[in-house]
Amino acid sequence: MPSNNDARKCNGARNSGAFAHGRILVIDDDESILAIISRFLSSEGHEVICAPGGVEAVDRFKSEKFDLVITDMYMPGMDGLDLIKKLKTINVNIPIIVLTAAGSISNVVQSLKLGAQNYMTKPFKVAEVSQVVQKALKTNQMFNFRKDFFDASLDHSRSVFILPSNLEHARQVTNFTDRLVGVFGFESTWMIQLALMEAITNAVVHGNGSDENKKVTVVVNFSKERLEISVEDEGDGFTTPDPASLKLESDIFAPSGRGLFLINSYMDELFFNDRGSKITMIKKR
Amino acid sequence: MNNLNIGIIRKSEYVLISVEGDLDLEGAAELKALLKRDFSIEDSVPQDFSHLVIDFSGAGAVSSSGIGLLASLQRSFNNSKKKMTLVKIPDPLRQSLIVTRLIGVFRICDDLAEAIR
Repeated sequence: MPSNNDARKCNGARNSGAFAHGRILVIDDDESILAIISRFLSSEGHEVICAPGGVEAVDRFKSEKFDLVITDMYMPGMDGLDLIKKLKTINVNIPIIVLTAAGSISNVVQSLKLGAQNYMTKPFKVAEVSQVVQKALKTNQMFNFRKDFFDASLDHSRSVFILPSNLEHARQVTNFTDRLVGVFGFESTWMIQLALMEAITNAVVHGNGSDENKKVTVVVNFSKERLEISVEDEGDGFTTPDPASLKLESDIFAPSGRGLFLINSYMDELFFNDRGSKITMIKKR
Repeated sequence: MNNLNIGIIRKSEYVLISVEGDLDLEGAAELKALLKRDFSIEDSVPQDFSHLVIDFSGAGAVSSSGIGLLASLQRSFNNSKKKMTLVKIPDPLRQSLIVTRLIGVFRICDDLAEAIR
């Protein structure tokens, strides 16, 4: 029976073959559920690690590699939604299956929006567990295969977007870039996404004055060593600040003036063209 | 079209605003407009308003515009001697509040029960 005090290994078996096997982290504050799932998954040859709560699971997840996470939705302290967000911040690609009570469809929807791959409704049948776990592990295997392929074969990539001054188009670019960030194995994906969102918003709203006839050009250059993104608007430009001396407004409650500061904090290098209509941001691997 | 959904629960002791989706430029403008329209919260907070609780458990990215809105709201609540609490803020927002030196300005709780106490 799993301990209430810490996350621990329930079974170390790992086989090979067409049936996908993996290292699975299972989180539930109900020890009986934890025991049933771990016993069943172990019998199928998976390596199962059990955690009685979100805090223990996050600690374990930070220092170990897993192929799949199965988590209860309702737990004291950190609930399933909080846990998904924390795990996805650490590894955006980890497949997560959510366990939830019947009738909790709004939480299921929210968990899927946060990146959970699938869900199971309690009470569940072990055959269903096997099927859902197989699907998740095979998807993860395919992802890892692709990632290994890109790591070995893809040297660099250059994408150029020419957008109308419209924030909805900007979101599509940040989503696209986010996927490439994963392909190239960069960490801190949310920092890159936030910096890009800030830069495009500046270009659309301040550079082009939200004039949809004016374009924003976004160039995204990925290589194995670094990511370079430039965002250029068609406005008159601004007096550009020196990134080394960027400061926050003296009024801590000011409603604006933090965008460039955040970009500078989250990217490794930042520079502008002379006219002040183009920002270039670099993140090193 | 932004992806923000805003839920509102009104209780006598507090108003709970649930933010689901990105609090970016458009999302922040939408939330600001809602607070003004439904609760007359702007530069000041009405005397009969008790406590604003903003639940971020469904929130996605929070940009500088979202942070700016939170900062200016906190100023309004401070000026009116009213209480505002942020609940379940995502780790990226927590980091941005640290970077922008705003982390100590807000009352931040990890669960709703604690927030509404």
